[in-house]
Amino acid sequence: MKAACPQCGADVEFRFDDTFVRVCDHCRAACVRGDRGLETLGAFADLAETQSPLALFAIGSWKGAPFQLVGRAQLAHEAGGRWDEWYARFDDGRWGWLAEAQGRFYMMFEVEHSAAVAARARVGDELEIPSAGRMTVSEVGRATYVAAAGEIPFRLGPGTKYDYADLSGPDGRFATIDYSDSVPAIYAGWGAALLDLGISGGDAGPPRSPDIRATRLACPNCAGSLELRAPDATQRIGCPYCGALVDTSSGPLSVVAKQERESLTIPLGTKAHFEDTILVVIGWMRRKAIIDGTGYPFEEYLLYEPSLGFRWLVESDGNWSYVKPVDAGLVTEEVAHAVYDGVRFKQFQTSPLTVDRVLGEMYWKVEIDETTAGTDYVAPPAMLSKEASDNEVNWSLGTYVSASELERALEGTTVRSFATAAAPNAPPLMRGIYPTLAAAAACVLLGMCVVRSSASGDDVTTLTCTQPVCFSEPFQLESGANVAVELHGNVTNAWISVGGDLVNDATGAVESFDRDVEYYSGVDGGESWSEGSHDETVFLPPVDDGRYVLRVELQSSTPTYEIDAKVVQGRFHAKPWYYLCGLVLIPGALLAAIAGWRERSRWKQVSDDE
Amino acid sequence: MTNDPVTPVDPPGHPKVPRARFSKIAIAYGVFALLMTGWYVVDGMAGRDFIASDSSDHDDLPASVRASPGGYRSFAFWHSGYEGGK
Repeated sequence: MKAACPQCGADVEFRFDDTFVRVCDHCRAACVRGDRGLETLGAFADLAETQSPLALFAIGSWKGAPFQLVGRAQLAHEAGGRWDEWYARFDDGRWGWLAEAQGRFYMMFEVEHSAAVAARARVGDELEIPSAGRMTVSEVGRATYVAAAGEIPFRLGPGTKYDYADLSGPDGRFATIDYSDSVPAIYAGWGAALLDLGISGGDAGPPRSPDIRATRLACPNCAGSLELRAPDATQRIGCPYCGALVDTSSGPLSVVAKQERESLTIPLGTKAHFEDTILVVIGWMRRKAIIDGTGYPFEEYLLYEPSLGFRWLVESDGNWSYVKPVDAGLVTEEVAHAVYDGVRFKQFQTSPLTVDRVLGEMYWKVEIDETTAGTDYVAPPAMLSKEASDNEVNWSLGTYVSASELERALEGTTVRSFATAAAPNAPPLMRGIYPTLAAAAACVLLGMCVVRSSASGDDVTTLTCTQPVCFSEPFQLESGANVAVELHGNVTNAWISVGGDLVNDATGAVESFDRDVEYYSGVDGGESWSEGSHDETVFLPPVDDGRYVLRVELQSSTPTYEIDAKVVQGRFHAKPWYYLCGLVLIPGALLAAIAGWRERSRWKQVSDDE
Repeated sequence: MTNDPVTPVDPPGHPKVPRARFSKIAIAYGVFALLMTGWYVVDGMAGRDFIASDSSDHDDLPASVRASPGGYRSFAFWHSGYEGGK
């Protein structure tokens, strides 16, 4: 259907029968078709330039179903910032709502529901959303439609406001409750990567040169040049020359706060290599964790890449973390723990977090002394952080970055390399020592089993000696196994000193040994006691194949004595295994003890702080 | 800001949690434990003690001594201060 725009007279074409509003390409009037032709609901503002990879009338595919993006609206957040809503018309007749914010996409579809489900929700509430399951309310707020283009599948006028609640759930599920009608509407779907949308084609729109993505403004306080590297997202900018915090969200620039100038470890504009791409440091903020009335400062650098969105580099006590946003519905909070991505994080600290200084760009209307409730959970090298306000709860995942790693990522920018305190998420110096010790113990035990099972323990000969010197009959020994001489002396309160020689009859090789067999016992003060043993075993190293003779020479404290000497080949010797245990397990136990002590020190630091 | 659009390493809003890798100390200790145990097993299978634990002396009797009348089985041989030859 083609008609003239009621406002400017230009041609307005409805390409699809099931749309309600067509935004005039010339005057941005919202043209709605009715029984008496086209009417206008007023004129939208021009779409704000964004770095969106999507385009009007582009085609795509979602889970195998083809669609076309036929309309687009831009909504303003009450805290500043805009996001895009694209209207996807599927070939099977469905309409999809494709939300785009900070490089993230959410494909949603309207779902049938009972009114009770969509009752006014508060941040943190858990709701059962039809066809989507249990989800957590991560944000509530009010949005305003400020700009639009293309065809819209519902009656949308400029300046329309509506209250909403955003929810997220497991498996990347996402939902929005729209409270604009008396019966709220629910849209549920999934978060998506650009690749999942299979976007191609579409209106090219005005050419976008990478060179003009940055914009320059003059600071209203000092007239210094302010560079906006994320002009479509920036709401506030802290002037690096005079420290003034400037509002850029609407109309003429205005100073909302004056601050002292700051010298930054990482200058604004620095390029940072993370996630296989290059992000730019566009903002800096110092905040304080307020614990018992004392503020513990930490610094946050805002990084930006148009198709990736925003990331943070956080520095606390000289320790650095690279931080990514996390959908609230993917986190499960438990008592003193949080579970995310199959990892159980331990609660580390809870404190109010207050904004102290801001330089460079921020994507919301940040204010000095703005406060949120922060909770950190750690599972080194990761830290899961929650920041909650009345309207919003945000989760993020930080990963510890060493100073050297950071300097490599920042192309040589020098950063503070000496931490003044242990980072809660710093990888323990001896991480993995406990499982390694357990594995070592198992290994040592297994080694003993192997050696023991290989010991045949064959009796070779026995010699009974009651004279000062005795010789055995020749006997055969094989190579490759030890030789044990088991001595049994029938002595009581006496000793027999045994000098033994194992002589190879053919080569004359001699293995000599000395051993005392002694045993004492008695009664002392009514208590019986004993000392020593009737039995001793001497282990000799393997010998060459051949015939051998055992010579035994005895001395004793008594005039009569008797020694039985049994030669055994391939007997298990326990003492070397004890040595192995000592050699392997004692150092391991020491390392584990040190690791435990360091970990306790880390947590003690927190309890001392609190 | 001249990057081409990139595909995020992680799904949006669902970054993977980095798992703690074993420290160099733990790895070194594990290697040490493995080597020591291997040494023990090899020695044990060959009948040798992993660390010499029972003292014994090795010596050689020349054939001339073993072949002499009485030879090394005589009391005199062991108590006359054998010094390596007749």
